[in-house]
Amino acid sequence: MGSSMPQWLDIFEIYARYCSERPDSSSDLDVVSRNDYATSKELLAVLSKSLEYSGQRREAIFNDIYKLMSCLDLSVDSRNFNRFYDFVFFFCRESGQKNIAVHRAITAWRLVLNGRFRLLNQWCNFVQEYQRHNISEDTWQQVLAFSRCVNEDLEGYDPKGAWPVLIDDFVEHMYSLVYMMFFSRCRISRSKNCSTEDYIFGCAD
Amino acid sequence: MRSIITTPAASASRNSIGNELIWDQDWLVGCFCPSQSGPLWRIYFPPRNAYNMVLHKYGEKLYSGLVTTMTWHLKEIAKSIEAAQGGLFLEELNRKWGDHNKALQMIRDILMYMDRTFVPSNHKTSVHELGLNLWRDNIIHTHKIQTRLLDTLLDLIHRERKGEVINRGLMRNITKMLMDLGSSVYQEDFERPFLEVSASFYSGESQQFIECCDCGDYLKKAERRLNEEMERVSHYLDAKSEAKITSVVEKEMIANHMQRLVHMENSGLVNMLVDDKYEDLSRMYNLFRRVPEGLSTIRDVMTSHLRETGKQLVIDPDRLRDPVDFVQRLLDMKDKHDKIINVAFNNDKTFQNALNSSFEYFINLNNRSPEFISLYVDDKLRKGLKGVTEEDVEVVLDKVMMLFRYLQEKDVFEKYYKQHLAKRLLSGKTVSDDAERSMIVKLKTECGYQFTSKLEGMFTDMRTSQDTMQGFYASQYSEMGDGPTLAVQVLTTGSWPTQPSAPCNLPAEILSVCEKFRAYYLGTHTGRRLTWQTNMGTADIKATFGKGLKHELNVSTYQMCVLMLFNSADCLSYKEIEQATEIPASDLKRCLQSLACVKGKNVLRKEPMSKDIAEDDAFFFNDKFTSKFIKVKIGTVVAQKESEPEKHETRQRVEEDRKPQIEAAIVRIMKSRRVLDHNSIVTEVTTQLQSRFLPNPVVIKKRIESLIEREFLERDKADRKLYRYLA
Repeated sequence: MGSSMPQWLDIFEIYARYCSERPDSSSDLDVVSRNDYATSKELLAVLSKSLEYSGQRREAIFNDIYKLMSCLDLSVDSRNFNRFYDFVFFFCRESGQKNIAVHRAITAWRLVLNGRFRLLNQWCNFVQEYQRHNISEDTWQQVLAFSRCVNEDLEGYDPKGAWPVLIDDFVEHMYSLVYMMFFSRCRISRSKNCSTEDYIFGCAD
Repeated sequence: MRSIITTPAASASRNSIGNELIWDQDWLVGCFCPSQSGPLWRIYFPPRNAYNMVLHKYGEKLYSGLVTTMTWHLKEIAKSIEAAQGGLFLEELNRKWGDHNKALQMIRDILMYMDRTFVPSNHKTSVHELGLNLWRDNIIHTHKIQTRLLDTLLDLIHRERKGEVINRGLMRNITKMLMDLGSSVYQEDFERPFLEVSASFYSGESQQFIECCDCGDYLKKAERRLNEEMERVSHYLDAKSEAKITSVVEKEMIANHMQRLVHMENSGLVNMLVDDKYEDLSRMYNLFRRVPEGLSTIRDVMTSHLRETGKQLVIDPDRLRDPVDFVQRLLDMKDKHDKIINVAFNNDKTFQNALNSSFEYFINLNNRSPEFISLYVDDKLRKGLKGVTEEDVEVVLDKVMMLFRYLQEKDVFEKYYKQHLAKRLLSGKTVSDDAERSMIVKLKTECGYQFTSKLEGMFTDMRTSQDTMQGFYASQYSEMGDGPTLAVQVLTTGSWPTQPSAPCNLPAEILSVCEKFRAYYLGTHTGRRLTWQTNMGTADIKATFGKGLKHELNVSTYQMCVLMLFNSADCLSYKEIEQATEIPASDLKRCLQSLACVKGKNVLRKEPMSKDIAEDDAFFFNDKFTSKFIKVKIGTVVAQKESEPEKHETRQRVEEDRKPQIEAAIVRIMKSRRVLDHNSIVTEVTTQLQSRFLPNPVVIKKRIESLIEREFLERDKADRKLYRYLA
């Protein structure tokens, strides 16, 4: 990075640079040596710093992200989306911080996971209500993995699956909600055919 | 019947009788006749005749002659046995059997040559065996005798079981006869039916017993039956029958009724345990161990009983009021069952394990157990062990350690132990230094140096403080004069469970001594900082009440500060006291309460009179205070069961302390393994830490997340369940 930083980087440039500097993808991680990994971390740190200089547009980041998203072709390759998703975290981070604030994370999720995560609404509501601490990078990344491996009845969730505690709590919360709903419905309708599956998340949205 | 045998002339020429040999069957009859013996039969048939016959190839004739004669004879005998009336039947059989044996012996002697040469070379049955076989076929296996014999034997045994005395000698002879006739004869003609009849006998009898006896009586009866059967075998049955008949009794009387016995209402296993019925328990153990699943049946019932009563004990809200009693009950329960296992259950390892696992189960059901166990030790070391010998102290402490071993949250115990020890040491209330140290040594052996290093630090501080005080008074001797005596304990930060608290305003006379001490101490230990823990001190003050009554008051430092104010005032409002002393409000209220509201200790008077302290109360020096004691102890600081908020606070401190321990364990594991999946980490961390506490998997997970955030670990890019260690 030269010292003569451009005054204003638009999100496309930042994204391009992010993609080139990021220690990329699962496939060649073994090839990338620790050194390279460290350098790329540093480069990203520099890039992150440069974001501060263009900080006047922080309020508009979500517009930028939306712009970027609509221009990228994210439908075909999940790796592309991965990279984009990670980038959003990177982009949303306040300078010098490792995590992002809850409200910002929720806005970002609603934006980028729209149509990709069947429990998006429930998830965001849950995080809004119960999470006090900032969202860590690991949690951020695991939410994407989680969104991919569960469907709306939470099938595919493995309690021993090393999910972050926030996700475990979310699942537990959903279960308790569903059972509550299930039993109250059963009482009202006195239906014999009531089964929990019928009500799983059918009425939550 | 006579037959004349002509032998070839060439041989037997030296025969003194001549060449003619006479085969006379009468000699055989003679052999069977009991009145004749020895010399007489030789006349009839000298052995030499038999020898000559065999020699001259008449062996076959001799042998078949023997079979015919003996068969004929035995048929006669059978008739006479059959004719025997009733009870004489067995005796007759026995007598004839005896005769037959004797005769057989003689015949064998006479026909020895045939037995040795003709029999083996022609694959014939030897004379003796032939005699037995013929007896078997012609006597025992004849239709009339066979059933009668069996019925008689079984009837006699039945009568003996019912309590009659029978002729055991006769029984022994008869069974011996059956055994002599071959083990298959014994087994088929007697043993098998005997076992069948016994099974149905005991099946009926046990059914009858179980309906009308309690468990203890039933077991006694079963034990007696078992012993009787063994005795019967030793008296008149084949030794090999013992295992068979006992297994019949075991099956019918024990195995078939096991569940009903242990669960028998009002007298089953649980009642025996409750009432310490060592004999009955021991009997049950010894009987049940004979049958499959027997011991596990006892063990299972005992375990569930222990768990249930233990659980009742530890969650009973009444018990929680008195921690010392709570622990004492646990110890009593342990002692009781230890003794049962020792006395009645043969010190069986599997029972001991069951006892231990039950205790471990229910002690940890109550999360106050660590605190209560520490309080129990506190109580013992504070007063309970006065006048008790050193060995007894050791016994008590060892028992406590045994409970300690059951605890999952040993770190919680440590926390409380530290608090209680601190209070004991600082108030000088510990009874025996040796006992204190002995306890520390035990904890050290159990949990290692780390566990006790801080506790030992506390002892060191106490010793050093004594020396320091001596040094202080030696140096200040000249200028001390009449001022108050100060005793300071210098505590190392970190070793003691001190709560940071703002110091209160000490009275001027105390403050000056304190300052002198501070100067002295810092003079010898440069670079240190002294903070007064006024919340932990005590004071002895002399007070003169109305009519010149003098008392020595033993109070806390806070109380002393309050009382000293009344040297210069008769009446003070709560606010005034609070301002003057700056004692934290909650402490001040408690301290005023103990000074003004406790009967017999009310050196202050409060207006308005009430139990609680209000912000606008006024306090007066109680001129009319009287007590029959010269020394009055007010509001002692005894270690007590924690209140709910305190408990909560301790809990939080424990949780906080666990975090770094869990993190350290994760890092240690990951450092050596580099890459590991989530569940293995959780397992290994749990194993590493379980000697101190049982880490919660969720907490471990949170620590892992925190370590990822701080870049000690990262998630594997490909497999999200794997973590990598980042050096």
